[in-house]
Amino acid sequence: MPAIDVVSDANVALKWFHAEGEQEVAEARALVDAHQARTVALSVLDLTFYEVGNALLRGRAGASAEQVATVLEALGAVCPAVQPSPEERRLAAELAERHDLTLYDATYAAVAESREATLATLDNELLEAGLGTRPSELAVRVAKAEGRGGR
Amino acid sequence: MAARAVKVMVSLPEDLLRRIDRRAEERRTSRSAFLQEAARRELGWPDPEAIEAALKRGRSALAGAGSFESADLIRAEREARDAGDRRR
Repeated sequence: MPAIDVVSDANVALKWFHAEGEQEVAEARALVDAHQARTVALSVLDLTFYEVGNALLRGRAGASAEQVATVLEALGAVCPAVQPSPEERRLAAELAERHDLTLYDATYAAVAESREATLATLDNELLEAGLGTRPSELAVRVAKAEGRGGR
Repeated sequence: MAARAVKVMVSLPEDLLRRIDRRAEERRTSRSAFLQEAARRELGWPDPEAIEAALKRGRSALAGAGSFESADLIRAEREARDAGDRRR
């Protein structure tokens, strides 16, 4: 059975390491379980490392450089990071314009669309634009693919 | 430093090569770049134990980070950067 290709948004990837105050932690982590079982082929973008690092360092988390470095090293060990191709950058610009998104948001959507993958996200702007799927919805699809039915 | 690229000769079925070339063209990338990425993707699939150990390290690092919603944090970062980009 071929794996389900999933591009993870930074907001889902961060939940693999942080749980307090987070929604859909179990579902986000179920994607990593499925990746370990090779039912899902997870990837993040090269951009994800900067977004996760910045959010931890400069956001409310107030994480130290040491904490951030550890999380980024761990993130790199969980799944491969994809670098968008020139064509994907072009598509990202088109999606950003069409849906009034930042280019950061649109790059995730463009890479997922171009690679026939599903974008796992909890970002309202991407979800409302119909460009991403919540981890909870994806978990149902993965469970079906694994022959476990819906959750 | 990037590793030196070497040329290799491999045999592929014609129909597979056509699919590779079609997809590489769609992505405006070369056949070599496409195959490199496919190989990295396959070889780069870490083993479950390495993933488990990485998760443990990352979770331990953020154990005392307090309560927050990652979607809010990332959204705030994207908007701040976007606003900065617009001002430039």
